[in-house]
Amino acid sequence: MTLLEWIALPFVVAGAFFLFVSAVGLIRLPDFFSRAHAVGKSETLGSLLILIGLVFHHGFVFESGKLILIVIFVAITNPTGIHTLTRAALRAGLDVWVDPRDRGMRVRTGPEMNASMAETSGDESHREQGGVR
Amino acid sequence: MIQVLTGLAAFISLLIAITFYRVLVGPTLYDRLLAVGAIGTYAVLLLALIGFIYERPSGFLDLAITYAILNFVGVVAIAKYLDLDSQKSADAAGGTEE
Repeated sequence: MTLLEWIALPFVVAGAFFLFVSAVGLIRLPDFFSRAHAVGKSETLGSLLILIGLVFHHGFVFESGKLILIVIFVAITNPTGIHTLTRAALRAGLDVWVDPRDRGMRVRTGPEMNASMAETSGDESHREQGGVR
Repeated sequence: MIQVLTGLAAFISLLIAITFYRVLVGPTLYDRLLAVGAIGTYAVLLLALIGFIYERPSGFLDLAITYAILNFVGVVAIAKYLDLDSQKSADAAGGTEE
């Protein structure tokens, strides 16, 4: 193995680890919002590490430019897409998981949340914007 | 190094298989859509890896860029559509309450 491949190896292995963490989180975590947290951060980091490892593996030629383009694109769009999805779920009023030891505690989402925010702030501007920025 | 990349591609295929569980079982529509987006990201990585394994990276990297763009546009479009839908029904419910 050449020197560049030895540099690439730790990046690729770390990326594989973070992708594994993300997949385990997607399967094991209890509700949509925590699953979105697992995918949104861990998977983005794993993808970036693997792609950067491939840049080192290939050396700095024309294909590396395309890889860096993919790196920038994934770093911007992956969290953005998941943020959009999570905001849609929050506005639709999806249930939020609460620790069973905190019995009676509830997290308000969706129309209920908009109503409570309008009550506390005392004006209607939050309602007009749907309560979520 | 080719062996490492091949092993990584096999590992990512395995991750796609276990992520697909969430697409099939996921209790809500949003869970399924989240898992589909995750599989799309895995597919981008898989395309880049396949390009390097077969030592023809140029064409496969173009495919990976295209797939990343399509994945993002698809997820955002469906999420915005669902958002629009729930805002409409929320407005209707608020109108009857007040």
